[in-house]
Amino acid sequence: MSSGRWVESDARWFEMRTRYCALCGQIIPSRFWRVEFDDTPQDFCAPACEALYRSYLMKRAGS
Amino acid sequence: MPVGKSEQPIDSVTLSVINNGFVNLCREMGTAMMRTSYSTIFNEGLDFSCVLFNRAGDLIGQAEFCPTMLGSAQYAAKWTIEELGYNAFEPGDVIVHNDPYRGQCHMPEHLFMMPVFYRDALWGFVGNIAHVGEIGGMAPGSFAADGTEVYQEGLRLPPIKLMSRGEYVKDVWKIILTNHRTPKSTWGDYHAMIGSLKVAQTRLLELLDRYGPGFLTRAADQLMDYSERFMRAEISEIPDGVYAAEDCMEDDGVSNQPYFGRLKLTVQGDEVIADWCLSDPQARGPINATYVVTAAATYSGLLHVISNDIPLNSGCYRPIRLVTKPGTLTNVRHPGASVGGNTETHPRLQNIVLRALAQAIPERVAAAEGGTACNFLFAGTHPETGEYFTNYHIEGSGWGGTATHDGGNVLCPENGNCRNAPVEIFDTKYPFVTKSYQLRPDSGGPGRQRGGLASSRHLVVTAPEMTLSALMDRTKTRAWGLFGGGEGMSAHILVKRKGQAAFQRFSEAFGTISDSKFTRVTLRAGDEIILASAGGGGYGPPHDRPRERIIEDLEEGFVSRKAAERFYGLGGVANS
Repeated sequence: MSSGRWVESDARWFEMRTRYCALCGQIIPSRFWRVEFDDTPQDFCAPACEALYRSYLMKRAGS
Repeated sequence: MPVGKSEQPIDSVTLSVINNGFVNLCREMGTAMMRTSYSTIFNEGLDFSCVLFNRAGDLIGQAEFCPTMLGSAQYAAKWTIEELGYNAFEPGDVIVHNDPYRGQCHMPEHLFMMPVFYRDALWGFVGNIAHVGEIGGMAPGSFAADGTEVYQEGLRLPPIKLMSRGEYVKDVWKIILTNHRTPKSTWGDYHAMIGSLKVAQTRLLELLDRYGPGFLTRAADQLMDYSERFMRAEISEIPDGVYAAEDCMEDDGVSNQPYFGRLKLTVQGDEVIADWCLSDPQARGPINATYVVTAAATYSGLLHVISNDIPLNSGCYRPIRLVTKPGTLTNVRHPGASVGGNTETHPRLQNIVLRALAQAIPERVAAAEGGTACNFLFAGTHPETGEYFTNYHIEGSGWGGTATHDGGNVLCPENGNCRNAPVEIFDTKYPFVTKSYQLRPDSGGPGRQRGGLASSRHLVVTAPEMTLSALMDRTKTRAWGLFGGGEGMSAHILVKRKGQAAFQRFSEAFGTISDSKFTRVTLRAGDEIILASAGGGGYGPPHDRPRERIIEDLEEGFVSRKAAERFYGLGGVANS
């Protein structure tokens, strides 16, 4: 079950930050889905990317 | 992902009529752009796409333009909406956006978006994405083949307004026109884009008058749901499994090492997971693909193997999930260079998708295409007009053979779906004389279905001086065949300086690191160039090709007698 939450980037308009989705690798504009994995935050585009991260990427990595 | 979530189903005839309305307004946009633009890459090359978005930025309509822009059409509009916010949009606005680190495919591709309001409420956006032929940066034509960061690739524009409530935002225009080498061309092409948006807005307002905004929104939602169901049904017909494939870019322009894209394609029921994480680390040179390029290559590869009847919109792509790793060839990390990723790496990635699918559905895929756009860029002062010119030219290659057909001859790469510029354009608009432009015999990979033929263009420079840049691939590698089919012939670009007896590679003549990727080489009057594209791979064993078709190839000059004997085992041709 997801413990994720939506987070708004705190970058100001003149700051250029690139935040990549931990699953698909897409750069996230400003609003992202943050999930804690053993106290380590992972950021996703959306809950759907978190779901695939758990069912595919973590499985592939043997986690 | 729930399917059919939009309530109150609309009958299929009405949906079909509305979908055609969406597609037609996109086609009409394209015609307006072609007829009114200034640059060759717009009006001859057709290097653009015209699209329609709903209020959320979902793609709800597109016409048959550049598949390479599928990814950016999906993501750049949404990014724009999220970055600017809905309150930013007003009637008459036009937003421009070309930032590869904000959802665009590469720097030359410019997204223009116009919000469309109906009775004071924002209904959606009309948009076009086009390859602007000159946007500044270190290389004329903005294809820096030896560039190593995005800052060398031209003027980078985040989503900003070009037009505000129908008025020019003059400060923005001045910045852009000051930084592009051919501002007159930019002026003309930008206005072609804006004009086409106005055409589309008119047509969309007619649809809104006819159906009402609520009904049209529901129809768009249901069309996306339908496309999703369609795509899921098509994927379901592909046997479940994990299919791996790879292919490489021969070099990156700043080193001589190859870079591999690697795909693990998992087909699971009605969904596909395209995992590109095992691709090589990103290159220093500009062959890196942005995320949206990899997405577009994946979508485009899959669209090649499904029915043509699917309405093309965001719904098609819902069952396709991407997994990429930032910092690789297939997802460049800021500030890596990426201009060639869109034209050269994209076809390679799309071919990798087909190579993976060949293991599952061999009868529905094609062998590899020539797979290089042969990006060929020249600039200088025209001796007749005294005006500075640049031109971005793409050349057609051979496409791969399929289970039922030979590959097409001299077609721009599948990701571009563009057109070759004819000889007359070279000879009348630019200081060249064309000595020949012809098919390359034997360039198509041998096969039961032969690979498509490449072309060769022989040009003589007539200006006192011009600069030349190129960004090509497949000069050391070859398009692969499938199921016994042979490889296509490699591409090349050669130069003969005035007074020299023989053609040379550019590394020999000018000391460039790469023979196929270089920037700002200076040519002078009388110098000659041969630009030869790559042939497509063959499909199936050449010995299975019917004898009459081999003879036909011989008569057409597509295949030489020597090749007919060597690859096809054809003897006694003279008596046939």
